[in-house]
Amino acid sequence: MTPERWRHIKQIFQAAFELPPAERSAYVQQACAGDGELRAEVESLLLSVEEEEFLSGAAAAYVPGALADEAWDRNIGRRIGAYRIVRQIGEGGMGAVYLAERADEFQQRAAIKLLRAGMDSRGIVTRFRRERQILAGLDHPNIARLLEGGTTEEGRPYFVMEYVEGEPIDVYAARRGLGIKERLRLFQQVCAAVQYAHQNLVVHRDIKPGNILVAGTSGGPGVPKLLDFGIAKLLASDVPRETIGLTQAGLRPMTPEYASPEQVRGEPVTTATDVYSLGAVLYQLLAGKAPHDFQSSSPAKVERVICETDPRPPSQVAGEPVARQLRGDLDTIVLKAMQRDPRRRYGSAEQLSADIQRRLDGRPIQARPQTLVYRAGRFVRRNRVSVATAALVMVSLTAGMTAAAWQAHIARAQRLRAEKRFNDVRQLAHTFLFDFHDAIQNLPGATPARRLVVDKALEYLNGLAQEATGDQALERELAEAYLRIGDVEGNPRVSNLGDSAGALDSYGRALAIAERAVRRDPQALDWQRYLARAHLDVGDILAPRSGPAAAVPHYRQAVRIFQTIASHVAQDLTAQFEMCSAYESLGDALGNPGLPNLGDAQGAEDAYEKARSGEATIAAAHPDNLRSRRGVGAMDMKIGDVEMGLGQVDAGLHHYQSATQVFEMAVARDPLNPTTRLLLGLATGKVGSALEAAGHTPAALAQYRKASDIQRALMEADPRNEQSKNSYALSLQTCARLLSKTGDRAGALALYREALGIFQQLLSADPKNPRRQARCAETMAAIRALAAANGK
Amino acid sequence: MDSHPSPPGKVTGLLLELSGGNRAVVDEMIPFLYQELKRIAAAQLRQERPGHTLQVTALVHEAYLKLVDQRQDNWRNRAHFSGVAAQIMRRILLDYAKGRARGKRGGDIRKTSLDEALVVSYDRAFELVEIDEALQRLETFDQRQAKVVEMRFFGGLSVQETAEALGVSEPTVKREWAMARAWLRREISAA
Repeated sequence: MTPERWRHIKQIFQAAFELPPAERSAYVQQACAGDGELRAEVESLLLSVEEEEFLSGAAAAYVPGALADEAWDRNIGRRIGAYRIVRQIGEGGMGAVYLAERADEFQQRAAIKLLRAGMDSRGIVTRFRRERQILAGLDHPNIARLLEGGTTEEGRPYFVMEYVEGEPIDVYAARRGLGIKERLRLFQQVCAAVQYAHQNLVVHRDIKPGNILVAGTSGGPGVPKLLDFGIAKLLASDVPRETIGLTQAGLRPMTPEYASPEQVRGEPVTTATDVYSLGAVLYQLLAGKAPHDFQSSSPAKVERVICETDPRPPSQVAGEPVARQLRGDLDTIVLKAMQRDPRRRYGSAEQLSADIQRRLDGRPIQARPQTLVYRAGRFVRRNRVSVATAALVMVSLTAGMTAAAWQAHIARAQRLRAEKRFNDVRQLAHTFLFDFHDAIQNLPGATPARRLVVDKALEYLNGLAQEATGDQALERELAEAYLRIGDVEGNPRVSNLGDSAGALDSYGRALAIAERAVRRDPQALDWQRYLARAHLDVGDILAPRSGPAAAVPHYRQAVRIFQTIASHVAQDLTAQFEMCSAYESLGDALGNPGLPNLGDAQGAEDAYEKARSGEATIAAAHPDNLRSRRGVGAMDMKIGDVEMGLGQVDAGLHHYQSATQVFEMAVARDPLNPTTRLLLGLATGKVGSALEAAGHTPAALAQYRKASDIQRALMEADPRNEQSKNSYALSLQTCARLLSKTGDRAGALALYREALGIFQQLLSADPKNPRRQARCAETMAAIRALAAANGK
Repeated sequence: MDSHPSPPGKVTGLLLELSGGNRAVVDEMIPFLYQELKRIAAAQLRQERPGHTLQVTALVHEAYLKLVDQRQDNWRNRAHFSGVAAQIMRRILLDYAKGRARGKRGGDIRKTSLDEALVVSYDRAFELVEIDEALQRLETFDQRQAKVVEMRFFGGLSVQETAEALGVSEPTVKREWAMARAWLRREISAA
């Protein structure tokens, strides 16, 4: 419409409007003078003018809530950090999200998440400071960047994030009418972003369509961006998980439709949690509905639905013709990502994406649909409370199947079926041994059931072994089973039944099977491996039970075999690791001053050296392998311990220093890892003790102070951890002791007092704890002694 | 963080500049008015019984009393203030309506976190967004007429107040209003 044309229309319209309605038409016809278009235009406007309802109310009545919400009104136009808030773009339980613009000349837009007043601001800000570098460092085309964060003057935490204009991924896909393949490709980009973040040790924790916005570029394919990476963790409270009941689930930011069972239960969140949520988003994208339909919004019911039911396969939810495309592979992929047991999900977002790629390429996917055996395992887990009943049901079920398998085996015509059943029985035994046992392991009073499970599994395996002699795979399974049973019975490194005699027997059987197999085929490295493992396990049982002398020969065998395997397969990391553990165990038995040992200091040092060089080899080949990097330092410390025990203070000092260097490098690589920092603190303290033993008091003090600083940082990073509080107070005590040795009584007194404060705090949390009572008493005694000396 | 002090002198000064023809000061007034209008609205709604329909006119009046130095009170200041207030009401309502309309267009108002009650109330946010879009088109070829709609519909101003704010006669406002309604009505039913 041009202004001229409009003026013309307006002139005629307004003149006509002044006339009584009956005369208007004639006037318009005359005024338009044959311009039919003009006449039609004016007449249609005159028609519309009769509709008196239109615009008769106030605009405010169209949106009743617009003026009612006081919560955010004061924030529009407000300045936060370098930004000025323009308008609200979203609102949630944790607070509101605003569009903001930089207040300076850069005019950059951003989204600001302003949290509600009354949240755990201090905790959030502390966690934010801790994680800021990592989060700000996430640089990926599919991740919205975190720009800054802090608190407002009234103490409300806020985060400034890259502003993304787009629609939630499911809305985008629906509105554009994307086909299944397009949806999968879009989703793969999301997986790539999640994988990238996981590699940078950031878990999202709240992946949902609303956090995945797709910018609708004209023409080209949409680019999804993930919002809020790492934010959920900052918002999560530090309350230990045991004390978080479901009723408090609201404190944890998550979205029930996409939250994993471990998350709603308040259990630790890992990358597997994100894989689950990715699965749920994929479900939504493919089926058009969220995976779970909560009948009720009561937290208890929601939790039950998430933790105890499997979503229906997407194909059963989507309508045809989409359902046909989902049936089979895509159902399997989605349900694998959404397994309730994190271990059964895809190992990573990348693996999930890779299976989708296989499906896109028309290749077989790696996820397997649920089999009978698999479902049996799930049944067990589902019913873990009534575990004894479940065990009996399973046992009778399997007995019946075994008989059937035997009979079928005889009939040649049914041979294939027999084989299948044979495998089913075998897998059932496997399920018993692994899934069933694991599921009930931590249940109080489950010991008899565990025993039953383990015995039954063994019985089936033995029966099958007799039926199929010379079946090497089956023998391997047997060896594995015996090792496993030994672990259940008495492996000191895991929760066990305390039956070390039984464990010794089971490990012995595994050892015998492996020895037989190795005699038959000395080249078979997998059998060598079982043999070495059995030796190592037998040694671990014997060392505390019969003394180091009994264990050492087994450790030597284990070491020898692992070494052979490692030398045959250069890239065999597992063998390298296992060799290092065997050397370490050998060193401990020969001469670790902190354990019962054979007094063979030289032998111990040699063994530790071997372990050290093994770890160093792994670390050199795999610079990211933190465990081995730390292993090098740990062995340095153990060597230092042996030397200090021999009175070789200089050599001990040297090894302790070398350990600190190793840990310092590891800390530099991964500054937030608490274990690494703890080891650095430990090694630094040991350097101090060696210096003290050598008579270098001021140098020792400097090291103790350094160690103490590390302890303090650890304590501050994890304020609820009593262990780290205690360690820090102990380090203060050590520093105080040295200070008073140098004559600085005032300094010593100050540190003792600080230590006393912490010990008293710990004591008040657990007033009957005798160790805590003793700590307080000894610190007070030291303070009194110093004060008395000062008074003189 | 800055907050916005709102001394009457400041807004009054801006109003005087506006009377002097400086349209740019409107931008400076927006933050004050935006906050103040919403605050007053919320306070009024809290006091009123449920179902009460908010009188935008009363709201603007209260804001005026609060923000403008009453020694400088005159019809011209009041009219300008009302004009700016209408503009801001439009913004407030549209910001809100767009948020809601977006949710609707997606076809699903999602339940989000466990701790969030799902509140769905019937509103015509989408219609309001459509009206605003049509009004933006009208602005491109008839600014005065669009202003009339902004003041009458969004600002809740009477014919007389609109006439004062725009410096035109009341019959003119009536004519413009009638035609604008007709045109918008047709635009929206055609869309």
